Amino acid sequence: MELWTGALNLGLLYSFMAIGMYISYKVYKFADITADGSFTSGAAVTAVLIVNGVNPYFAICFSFLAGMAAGSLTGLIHTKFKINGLLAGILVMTGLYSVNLRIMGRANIPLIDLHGFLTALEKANPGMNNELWTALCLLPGIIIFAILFALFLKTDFGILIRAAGNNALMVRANGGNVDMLIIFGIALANGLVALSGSLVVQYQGFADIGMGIGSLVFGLASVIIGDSLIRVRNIYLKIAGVVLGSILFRLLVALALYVGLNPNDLKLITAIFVFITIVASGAFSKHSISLRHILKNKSSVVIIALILITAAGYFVSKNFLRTPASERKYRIGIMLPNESEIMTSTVNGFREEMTRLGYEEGRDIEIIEQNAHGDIPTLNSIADNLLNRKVDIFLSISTQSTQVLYKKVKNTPVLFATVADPFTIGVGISDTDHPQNITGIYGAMPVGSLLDIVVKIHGEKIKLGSIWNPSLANSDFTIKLLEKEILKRENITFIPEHINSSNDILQASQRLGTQSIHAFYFVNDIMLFAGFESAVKISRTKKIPIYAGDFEKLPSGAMITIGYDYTAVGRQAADKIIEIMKGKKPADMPYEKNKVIITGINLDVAKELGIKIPDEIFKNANMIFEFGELKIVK
Amino acid sequence: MIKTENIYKIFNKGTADEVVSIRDTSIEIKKGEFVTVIGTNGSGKTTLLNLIAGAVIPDSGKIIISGNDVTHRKDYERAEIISRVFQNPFSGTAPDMTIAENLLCAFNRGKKHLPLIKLNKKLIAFFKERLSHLEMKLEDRIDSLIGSLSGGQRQAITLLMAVINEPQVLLLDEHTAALDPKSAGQIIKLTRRFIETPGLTVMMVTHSMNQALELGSRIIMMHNGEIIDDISGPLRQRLTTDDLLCKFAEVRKKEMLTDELFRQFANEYI
Repeated sequence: MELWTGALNLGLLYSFMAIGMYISYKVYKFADITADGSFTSGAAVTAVLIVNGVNPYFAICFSFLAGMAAGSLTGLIHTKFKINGLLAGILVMTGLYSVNLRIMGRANIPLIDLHGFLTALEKANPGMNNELWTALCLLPGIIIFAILFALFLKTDFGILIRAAGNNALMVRANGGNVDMLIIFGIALANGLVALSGSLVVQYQGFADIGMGIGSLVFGLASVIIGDSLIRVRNIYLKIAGVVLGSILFRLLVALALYVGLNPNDLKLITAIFVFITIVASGAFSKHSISLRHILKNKSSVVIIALILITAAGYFVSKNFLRTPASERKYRIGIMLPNESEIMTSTVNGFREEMTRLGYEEGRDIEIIEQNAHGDIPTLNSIADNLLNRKVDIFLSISTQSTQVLYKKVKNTPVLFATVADPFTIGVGISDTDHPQNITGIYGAMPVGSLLDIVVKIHGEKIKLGSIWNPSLANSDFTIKLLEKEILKRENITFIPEHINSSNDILQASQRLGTQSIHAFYFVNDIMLFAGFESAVKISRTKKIPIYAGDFEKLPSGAMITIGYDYTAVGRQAADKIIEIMKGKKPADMPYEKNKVIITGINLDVAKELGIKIPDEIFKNANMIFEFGELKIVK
Repeated sequence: MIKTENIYKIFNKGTADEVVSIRDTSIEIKKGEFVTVIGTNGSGKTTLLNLIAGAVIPDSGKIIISGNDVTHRKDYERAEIISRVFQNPFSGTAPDMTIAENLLCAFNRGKKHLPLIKLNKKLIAFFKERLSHLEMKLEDRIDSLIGSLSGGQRQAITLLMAVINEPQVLLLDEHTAALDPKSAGQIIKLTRRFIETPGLTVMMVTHSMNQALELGSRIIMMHNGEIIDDISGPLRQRLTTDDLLCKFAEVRKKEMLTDELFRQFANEYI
């Protein structure tokens, strides 16, 4: 039930975006990718305003205006500079990424315990299931909005806007300023997209810089599903169809998770689905104008397809996925936001330790592992899905997973791991004072120990250069810690370099290489590690050693690594989960810090760069890489 | 009503494709006049019309309409006074919208398009009454999409849209050229009926000498971006197709055209 109501709510909140996309795609006939940026803009503005104590309804209005500003920029570039709409959208979207990061000031802003518009609704809940209550409150609001929007399209101005997308020459001949109309239309569309972003932030309890990625395709999918379902010209039904499309799309995502599809395949399935729907609508559209044709044409194809998928999913889940109640095993739901090494190491360590302690998967316990592969809204659906599968405990890997679960799960135990700092996201006040159903293991990078080592090798007065992606919450957090630590030491100069993708690493390292730095420091940044080799190249030619946070980078060319052993974190998590399985309450379990710090040295690199490693460091190392071989010392 | 002063329009200026479309052209058209414009292909007649409409802005010279200098005003800013019918019957209407919605856009020409719903029963009744003048039974299909109509029907609606809120100037740009002879005949009949509004100034570009003689009170002949003849008054009333052919023969002499080219022109224009 949670799964479906959760998807329904997401669908309702995203329907504003779908209505926005209806304007750009159906009225102006171009796929406006500005949406990917303006969705995040709406989210960013809302998060920052609410954190600063602004009334959430004002925050929604400001988000709408921010989206309109972004949209009018796209419109302006498109009309006044005669740049193709898609290209104009790409330009603005790319620029918005930086703007959004500036607005937020960091990659992730939690809103837990702050007042969003949903807080008021939740307070008025007469004791119903919370998701269902939210849906019941949202539904009339959206119906009223959809009716008002349809009425707007029927006004003189609305008719002119539609005509401008249909025949610009005719509108000019009749006194309409087509450029202004297009700019206004695209602005309105993006205003609605941003509005959606604002609502989703308040629903899921946090804003993340990556949350807008894919908005265009999801929005188009909703519009196209809606359009193929409603084949009549009635504008009310058309808008209703778009809202319905948005809900159906989220239900489809939920369904895909429910039948056990890998969320990684979700985007491919979406793309294929949208493609088939577009092709099908092209083939049938000539015959489908009036209401009585509805059941004869492609809408029925889509409906039948949906029913078949649902039926198949239901059948599969009933017969193959569900264990009979008598044999029900302790069920652990693992939730990951992406596939970065530290997260998968945690899960691997956890699984190995469970087996070692005698809890075999399939025999004694059941593990459901789901990865959102970088798509934040999917985390919400994964949480709903795991709740629906009645997991006995959640193993929440990463900050984002924990934010989602803190908001959604009130009764099932949640154990978090590989979280830098639970208190900055509002999950608890201290190690012992925390939510009843949540406990976990945390710890930020040991930046102090790292600086100690750097100073021992290079002397007191040094320049330290670092590259990271500020849109990744963990990297950003670690660097902030590092900057704080550097402020305490007078003689270290910090030279930062930002990247947005792994393609920027070579240039960023080259720039750092020209600033006569003594050392590179790389955090556990998923994007950075994707292009680590290009940094190693610069390290070799410029003779600047690399210090990294993950010992797995030792063989690739880092000179010294210092960081937590995340497989050990996974083992810690296994111990905790077994305690909870045996009846301990999370409320009685204080938070724990990550325990094992691993120091690794690559002697081959040190020799190549002509750097002498002091004995003191050498003695404390856990891993040594020498003559092309990795040895575990202790 | 309409006055142009020494206007020039050069396309693709500074490139190998440079074309002087309008050359030092000055003309004055009085209120209520019906001017037909004829000329060879590329003589600049459509450009002249577009300059007056504001779809094209001149490189130099002045355009004055109703005493106001509108030289640099865009076409949509002039639409309050000027309405247009295009050669392409699909240009004047929005295909994915209904007849009523198209008529509404024209009905609001020169007024504010406010976010209010003006399209009520009363207005629809008015539109139906106007549509009945087209004698195409379109009044029964007022909620049909324009895209489902024929070229002739669409051009008839464009014509109706052009006169529905009584403009001061009507510009017709070879508006029957792309239609079959039967539809073209219907449109000419409708044009004749609609321009009867007193005080309406009309400029019609045509490629048919018969049409040029049949309609209007003044003929302008263009060649090479210039007005080479301007006939009005009693002279215009006595004018025949033969006279027009003689005029072209004069042009031929001036331009030293071959007989073959001349025959081509003659075929094209009769």
